[in-house]
Amino acid sequence: MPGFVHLHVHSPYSFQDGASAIADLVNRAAGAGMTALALTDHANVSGAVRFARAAAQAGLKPIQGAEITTTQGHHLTLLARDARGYANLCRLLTHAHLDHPRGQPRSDRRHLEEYRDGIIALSGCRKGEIPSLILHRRYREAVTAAKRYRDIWGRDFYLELSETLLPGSRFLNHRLAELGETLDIPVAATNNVHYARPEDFPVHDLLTCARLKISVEEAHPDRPLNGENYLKTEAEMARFLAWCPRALQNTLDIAARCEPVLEPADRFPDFPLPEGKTAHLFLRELVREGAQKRYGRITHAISERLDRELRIIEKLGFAGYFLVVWDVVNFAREQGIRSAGRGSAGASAVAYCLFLSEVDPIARNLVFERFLSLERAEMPDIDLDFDARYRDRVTRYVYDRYGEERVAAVATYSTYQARSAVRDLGQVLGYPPAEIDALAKSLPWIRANQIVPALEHFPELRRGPWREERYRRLFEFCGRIADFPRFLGTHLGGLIVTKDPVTTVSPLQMAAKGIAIAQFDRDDVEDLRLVKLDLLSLKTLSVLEDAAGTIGGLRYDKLPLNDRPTYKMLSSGETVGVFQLESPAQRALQKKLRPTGIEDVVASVALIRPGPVKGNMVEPFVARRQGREKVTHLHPELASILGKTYGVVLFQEQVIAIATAMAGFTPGEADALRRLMTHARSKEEMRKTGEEFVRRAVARGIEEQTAREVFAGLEGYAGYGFCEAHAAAFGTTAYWTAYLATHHPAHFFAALLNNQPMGYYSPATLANEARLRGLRFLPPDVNAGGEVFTLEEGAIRIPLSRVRGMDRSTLADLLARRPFRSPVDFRQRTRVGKDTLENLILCGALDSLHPNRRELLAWLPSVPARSPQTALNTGPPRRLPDFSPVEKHILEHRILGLDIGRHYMTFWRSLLRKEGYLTGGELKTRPGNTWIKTAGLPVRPHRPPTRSGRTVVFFSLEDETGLTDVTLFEDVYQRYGQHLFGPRRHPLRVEGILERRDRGVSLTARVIGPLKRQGKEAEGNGRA
Amino acid sequence: MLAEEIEVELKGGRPRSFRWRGRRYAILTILERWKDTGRWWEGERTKVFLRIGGEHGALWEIYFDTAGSAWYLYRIYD
Repeated sequence: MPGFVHLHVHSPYSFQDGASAIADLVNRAAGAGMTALALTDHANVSGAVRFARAAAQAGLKPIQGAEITTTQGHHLTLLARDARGYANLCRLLTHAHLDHPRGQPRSDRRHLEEYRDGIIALSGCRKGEIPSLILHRRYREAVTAAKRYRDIWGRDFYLELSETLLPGSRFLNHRLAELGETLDIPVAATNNVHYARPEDFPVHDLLTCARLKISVEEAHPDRPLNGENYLKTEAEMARFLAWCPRALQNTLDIAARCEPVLEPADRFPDFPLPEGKTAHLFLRELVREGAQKRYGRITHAISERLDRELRIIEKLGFAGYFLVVWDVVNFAREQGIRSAGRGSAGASAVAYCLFLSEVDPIARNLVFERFLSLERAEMPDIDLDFDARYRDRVTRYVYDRYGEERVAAVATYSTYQARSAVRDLGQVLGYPPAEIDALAKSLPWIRANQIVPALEHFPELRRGPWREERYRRLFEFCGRIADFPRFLGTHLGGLIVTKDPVTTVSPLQMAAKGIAIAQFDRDDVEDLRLVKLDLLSLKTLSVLEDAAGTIGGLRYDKLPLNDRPTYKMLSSGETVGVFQLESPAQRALQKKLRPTGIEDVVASVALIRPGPVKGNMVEPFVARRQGREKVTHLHPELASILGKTYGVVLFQEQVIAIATAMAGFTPGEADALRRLMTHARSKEEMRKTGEEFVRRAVARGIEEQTAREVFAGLEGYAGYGFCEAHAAAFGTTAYWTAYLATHHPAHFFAALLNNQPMGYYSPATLANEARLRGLRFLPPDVNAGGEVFTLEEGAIRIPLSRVRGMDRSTLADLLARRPFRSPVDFRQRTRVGKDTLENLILCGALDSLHPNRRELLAWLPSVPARSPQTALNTGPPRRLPDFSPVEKHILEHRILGLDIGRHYMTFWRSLLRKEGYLTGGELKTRPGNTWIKTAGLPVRPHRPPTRSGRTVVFFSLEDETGLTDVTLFEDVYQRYGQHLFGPRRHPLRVEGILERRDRGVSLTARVIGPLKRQGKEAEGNGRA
Repeated sequence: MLAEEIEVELKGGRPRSFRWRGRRYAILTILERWKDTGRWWEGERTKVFLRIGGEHGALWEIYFDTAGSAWYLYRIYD
C-alpha cells in the first residue's frame, strides 16, 4: 500500500460548495490514518486558522492552499509549500479579488508567474484547463497548456488524477497519465473533496442549488452528478487508481515538502518613533506627560502603579501596540473627534494617562491584571468608540499612517442560522414560498439545528404547516448546515495593522462596503497574534455632540457628575433615550435604586446584564443600597474591596482583588481564577483552585472556615460579574445623556432622532416619549425643515428626509428650489417621483400649500413635472372630502415611521374606556394586586435567558401616556406568545395583575389578544 | 434510450454478457463507468452506468440500479 493524503479539499469556506465542517474533514482524515491534509477552498484561505488548529489537535500536518480560477475560467489547485509560498498565495488571491469584479476572483498568468515561488500547483478538477481540453479531445492544446504550467512551476507542477466516477473519468485519467509520461510531469491522486462522508452528498447538492439559485428539480452543469466527492480512504483511492500507484505515492511526497505556514511570528507594526527613542522609552515619556495632565501631582502610589504597568507592558513587548492606539486617539483629539475607551482597558492607568480611556483606575482601585497580565500574555484589546459620523476619518488616518498595504478590515462570517437555512434550503426543495416566508419571519434567533425542538417550545411556531411531516426533511437538512459560513462581511470596527504588508498573512478582498478586508475574523486574528484595533462607532457620542452643538457648545464632559435634577429624572424611571439605562429592566431598576451619584449609575450599567440578573444579584444589591439589608463582610479585608458595592461581588475586578488580598495570589493568578470562574465549569478544576485559595489564605492567618466561605461566595458568583472598567466608562456616558435629557430635552430628542437607528426604541416610541415631556412635533413641510430634525421655537420639525421614498439627491434638489408658491409650482420645479410625491401629500408635507390631501392626491400627480407647458392640468383640483383624522394618522405613521401629533391609541381611547381598559398612566394610580385591563402597541418583546431555564417574556405596552412594562410567565406565554412574536404585530389588549413594587408598576399578563377593530373611531387599516 | 431490464452474467464481479429480448450478447470491453445519483430527493438510488463494447463493433450503455439490484439496457449506439 503506497500511502495517500488528500490535497484537494473544500470546506464550508468554499461558500456553499463544501458540506462538511473543517473538524469533520480533519477527523475523518485522521481516523483514516492519514498524516496530512490540505485545505483548498475557492479563492480564499478563510478556513486556514481553524484548519491549522483542528489539524494540530488531530495530529495531522495542515497544508494550506486554495483552488483558484484563471482569467480563462479554469480551475487550478495551489498549495503553499512554505511561508514564502503562503505569502505568494495570499498576494495572488489578493490580485484575483481586487483586480476583478467583486465576487468573481480571477488569476492571470502574469501573477501566476510572479508569485510562483514556494507554491505547488495541481492541474485541477475537470474545470482545470488541461482536463477540460482532454475531455473535449483537444489533446494537442492540452499538451501546450501542460508545458505552459510546467514552465511556471517546473517540478512543482502535478497533473491531478481524480476518479469520481463521472462519464469520461477513465479516459481523462489515462490521457493525463500519458501526458505526464510524455512531458515528464508527475501525477498526483486527488478526489476533489467537497464533504467528509458519502451521506453528506445531498447537503452538498442542496448547497450547490442554493449557490446557483435553482431548485433541486432543475438541471445544471455545475450540480454534482453523484456522491463520489467524499474524503475517500487510502484503500478506496488505491482501488480506483490501482493502475497508477505513483499518483498516490506522489501525494505523500508533496505533503512531506509542505511546511506548516501559520506559525506565530512578530507581526507588530513598526510605530514611527522619534529619533533615538525606543518604543518603550517613548511610551514612558508619553505616560509621564499624560500623568501630569491627568493627576497634576504625581504621588508615590501613582508613580508606582504606572511603573508596574509599564514593566508588564515592556515584558510582554506591547509598548508598540500602546503607541499605535495612542497615536489614533491623539489624531482624533486633534481633529476634535469625540472618542472614548470601553472595555477592560479602563483598568489601565497607562491607558488613562494616554487618554485612551476616561476611567481612572487608581481612583477606582481597579486591578490592572483584569486588562493585561504576564500569566495570560494575551494580546491587549483596547476598544475605542468614536463619534459615529467621523469614525471613517479615523480609519482613513490609520491607512494613511501605516500604508494601505499594512492595514485591512477584519472580516466576519455570516453563518447559517435557522432563518437563513430555512429560506435557502426551503426554496431549493420547493416548499411554498409563502409558507417559507412566514416560517422564517416567525422563527426566533436560534441555530439552524434547533428548529425541531423550537416548534414545540415557541407558541408562535405551533400553528402552521411546518409542523407537518413534509417539513421534517427540510429541518434535518437545515441542522446539517448549521453554522456553515454563508458569506464574508466586514467587522464593525476591527482593523488589523501589520509590520509587513497584510497580504503576507491574508489575502484581501473587497467588501460590499467598498473597503478591503482580510479573510480572517476576530478569532483568527487573535490566534495569529495580529495587532487589531477596534475602532467602533458609537452613535451616542454623535447624539451628545449634536445636542451640545445645537445648545451652543455645551462642554458636557466638564459637567460635575452630581446634578440633582438629573438623578431625580433617573429615579423616576422615565429614562427612554438615556444611554444604557432605557430598557424596561433598567427603567425598573432606576425606580428601585433611586440613584444619587455616579457610582449608582456605574452599578446600574453592570447590574442589568445576563450574569448579574441570572446570578440574582440585583435585589440584594438594591436592598443593601437602600439600607433595607445590613451590609456585612465575612472578613474585614473585604470591606475595602466590596464597600462600594455594599458587600455584593458585582465586578470581575473584585474577584481579582479578593484573591490577591486574602489568599496572596499574584494579580495574574487572581485573574486566572476570575477567568476560571467566568469561563470554565469543571468542578474538579474549581475544587482544586478552591483548595489552593484556602491553603494560601490560611497561611496568611485567615481562619479556614472564613476562607472557605469567601471562596464559596466567589464560586457562587462564578460567571455573573461584569467588568467594572467597562461599566465605569459607559456609566459616565450614560450620565451625560441623562443630563441632556433632563435639561435640554428638545435638543436631546432631536439629536436622538437624527442618529437613528440606535438604542433600544424606535423613532415612534422616542417621539412619544418626547411628547410626554411636553415637546411638540411639527409636520414635514416642503417649505420648512430639511434634512434633519431641527428645532423651531421649541418644537421639533420632522424633516423631509423622513418621508418614505425620499432620496438624498431629490431632497437636495428640492431644498435648493424652495420656496414653493403653490402645489403646481412644487410639482413643476422639482423632480420628485410619483410615489414620493404621493407620500409627501399623504403625510401632510404640502398642507401649507393646499390643506386637502385627498384633492391633492387626485390632482397633483397628473400635473406634468418640470414641464414648460404649465397650462395643462394645472387647474384647481376637483372638490373631494379630505381623509378622516384616523386615516391621516395611519398614513402619516406609515410614511414617516412616527406620529406627528396624537398617539395612535388616542383613536381607540373612548371605545376602550367604555370597555374598562385603562391607560398606562391610569395604572399608576391603581392599587397593586388588582386585575386590570389595558391596551397599546407592543414594544420590544424579548425572552432573556433565565436561571431556571423557563421562558419569561418582557415587553412594554405603549400608549399616549407612555410605556407600561409587562411580564409574561411560561404558561401565559405558551398560550398567547404568538401575538408577540409572530410575523405580524398588532395593537394588543392585555389583562392581568397589576404589580406595585418599589414605586413602580408593572403588569403580569394573564390574557393577551389582538385589539380588533370594533368601532368607527378606529377605522382604517390598523397599524403596527 | 430504453431502460429495459436485462439479465447480466458476471464473472469475478465483472459483466461478461447480457441477455436482452431473449438473445445473449457478449461484453468484450468496458469502455467507461460512472455513477448517477439521480433524483435522490425523491428516494431514487444511485445507478452505476457502463458503456460497453460487443462483437461487430456494437456499443451499448447499461446500468445497475442499486435500489432494485437490477440491470437495465439504457442506450444502443447504432
